[in-house]
Amino acid sequence: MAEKALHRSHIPLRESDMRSDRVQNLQVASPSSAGAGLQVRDLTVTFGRGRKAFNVIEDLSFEVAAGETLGLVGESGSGKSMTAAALMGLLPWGGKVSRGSVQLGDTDITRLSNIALRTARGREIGMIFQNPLSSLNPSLTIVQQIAEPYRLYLGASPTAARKHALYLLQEVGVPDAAKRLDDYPHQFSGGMRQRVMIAMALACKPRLLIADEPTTALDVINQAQILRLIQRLQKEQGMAVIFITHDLSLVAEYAQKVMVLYAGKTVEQGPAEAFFSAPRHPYSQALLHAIPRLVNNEERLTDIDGIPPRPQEFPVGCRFAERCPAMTPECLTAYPPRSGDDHHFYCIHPVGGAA
Amino acid sequence: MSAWLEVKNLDVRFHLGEGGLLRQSQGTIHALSDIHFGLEQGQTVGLIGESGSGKSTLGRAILHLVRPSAGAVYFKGTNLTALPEKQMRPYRQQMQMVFQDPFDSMNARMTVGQIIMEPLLLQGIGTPGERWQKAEALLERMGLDRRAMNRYPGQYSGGQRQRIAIARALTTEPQLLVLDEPTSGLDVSMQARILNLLRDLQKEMGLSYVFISHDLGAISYLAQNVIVLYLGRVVEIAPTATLISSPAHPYTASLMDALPPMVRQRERPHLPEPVGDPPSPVNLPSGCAFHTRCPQAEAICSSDRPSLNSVGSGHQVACHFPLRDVYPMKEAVHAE
Repeated sequence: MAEKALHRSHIPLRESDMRSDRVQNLQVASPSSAGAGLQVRDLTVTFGRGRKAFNVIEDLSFEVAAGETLGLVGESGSGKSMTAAALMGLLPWGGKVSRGSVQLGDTDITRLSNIALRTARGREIGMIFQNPLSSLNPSLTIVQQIAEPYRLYLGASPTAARKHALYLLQEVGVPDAAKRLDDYPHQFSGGMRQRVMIAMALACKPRLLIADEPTTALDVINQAQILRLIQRLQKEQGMAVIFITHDLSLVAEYAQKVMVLYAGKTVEQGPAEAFFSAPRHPYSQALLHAIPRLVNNEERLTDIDGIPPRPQEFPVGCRFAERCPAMTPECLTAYPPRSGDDHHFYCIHPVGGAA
Repeated sequence: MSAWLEVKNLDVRFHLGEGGLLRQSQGTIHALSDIHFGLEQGQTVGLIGESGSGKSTLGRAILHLVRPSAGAVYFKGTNLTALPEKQMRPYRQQMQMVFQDPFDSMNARMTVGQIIMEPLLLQGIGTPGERWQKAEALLERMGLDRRAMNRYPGQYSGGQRQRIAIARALTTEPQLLVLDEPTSGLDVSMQARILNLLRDLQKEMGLSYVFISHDLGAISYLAQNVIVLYLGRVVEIAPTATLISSPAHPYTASLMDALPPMVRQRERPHLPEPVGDPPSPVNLPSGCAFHTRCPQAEAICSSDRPSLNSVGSGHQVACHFPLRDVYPMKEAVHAE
């Protein structure tokens, strides 16, 4: 099956293929596992082969239970979006999951055939991207785009799909939803487009929602509205949510767990409460103190000079060492060991004293 | 006594569809109406509002990149609006702009050196050698390597490009910089670096900034005074500390309430969330433009437009029912 699927992976799928596959998929993800979230173990993504091979993300392990939000934090180039791509099975050409597993319910996504993966993407995993305009098809109406997954994966009739699309648009708070069904994406404002994206991602009630910087392009009022909307829908549907952002102040408000990535590796991870009351890694600390606040704004913001290293040039030791104010020669010799338990970090000179 | 930079009753209107095939005006966008404020040398004024509020247009109108339809901009006592373009050029040296998107605002086929030296070249300042030295010195001041001079902007990250853009704006030794959302596309760590750099440059060179942003956190870090714009009108002007501790306009309050608690550092929101999106600037609502979304609008709000009234020292608000500070901030206690 896997071979066959690979062979045909570039051929456009017919609906009949989907249907047979859907049955298979439904069997794998039986109702008994409903409620189970996402478990990722030692996820490593490698590009290239042989001596030229390099890892862009390394040994990421995390769990997101149903109804829980994980904030995935880091600068651009830290591997956040690559992690999302690996979870979706949407790695760019040349990249592959070289180690580890991604368990969603009872299914290991990394072992699925391309066709099964495609169904899983529509049904089990929803994704919201940063730029809603470039992620929506400009030549299709909103109703066509929202209803598509529902029609394909659940085999709904066009009428039922339209009805469902209307329901979803109302759910995400698009005013005059009935009138706007046949509009095109360019007729919506930025905030409304992001709502349409959310409606699309939620069309089949996925178990897992990946929100990749969903509000970076929006202004503050829209940002708050969109994030609260995701939070409400998450509660109602019991989804696991991975919220990718570079802004820790948003993670503090919306996530129960935090994972800070730097240059493809976890530097600190833990429950939000423990993390925000005492961040231990100098990088987490710097990210927190880089946020301008409304009080005490005489105090100077922390800025981190330089940029993260490129994946081809990841050093042996701590990857943040070059930019770290607490760096000592020991930092350069080996990757720091893990310290702590539920709330853990990888640093030999943690903020607030030795581990 | 007039201010160092003074914007008086500024209007900017755009006509839609005029001069097209059918030569029919499809309507007028009132991008800005009756804007009035001053800025002292060495100070920063923050312009805040949602997309479509007219904040970028105001920045451009101050520099006359967009010609005002009415009103005037006085720069050190000179009415810039009355000047023809040719006489305007010497003033352009003293006023520069940094654009939002450091990817679109640079010619990808010019080297960083050429980009930074271009304003000097256009203004005919210095010999080639002097221009080169000046550009190198500025690059170093921005924390970038001299070798960047011969590289292309494509080799740099967003934060580095924004520093190149600031270097370009500073070559003609301007006194006024209009910063149009210079950090909105950047990561928080890069944003912090740019904000710190701007703060240091202001101290060193005595620069004045018009800082445009939709992020009140970033604005409060740089600006002494904040102007809140909604659909092309000023709804509130106040010293930054006053605005943060006691916003008087419901729109300002909702901008603050939308910030994450870590940033706003306030337990309770002022008001319920505003509903929906800003209305179209072509058909502005009657009365107060915010009444369609305002959680506390009453009948008078849709019929009469509130004028800008003083509610405290340097604090003006255009609202029929300005907010009183019902829930004082935690930190306000310490300040006293």
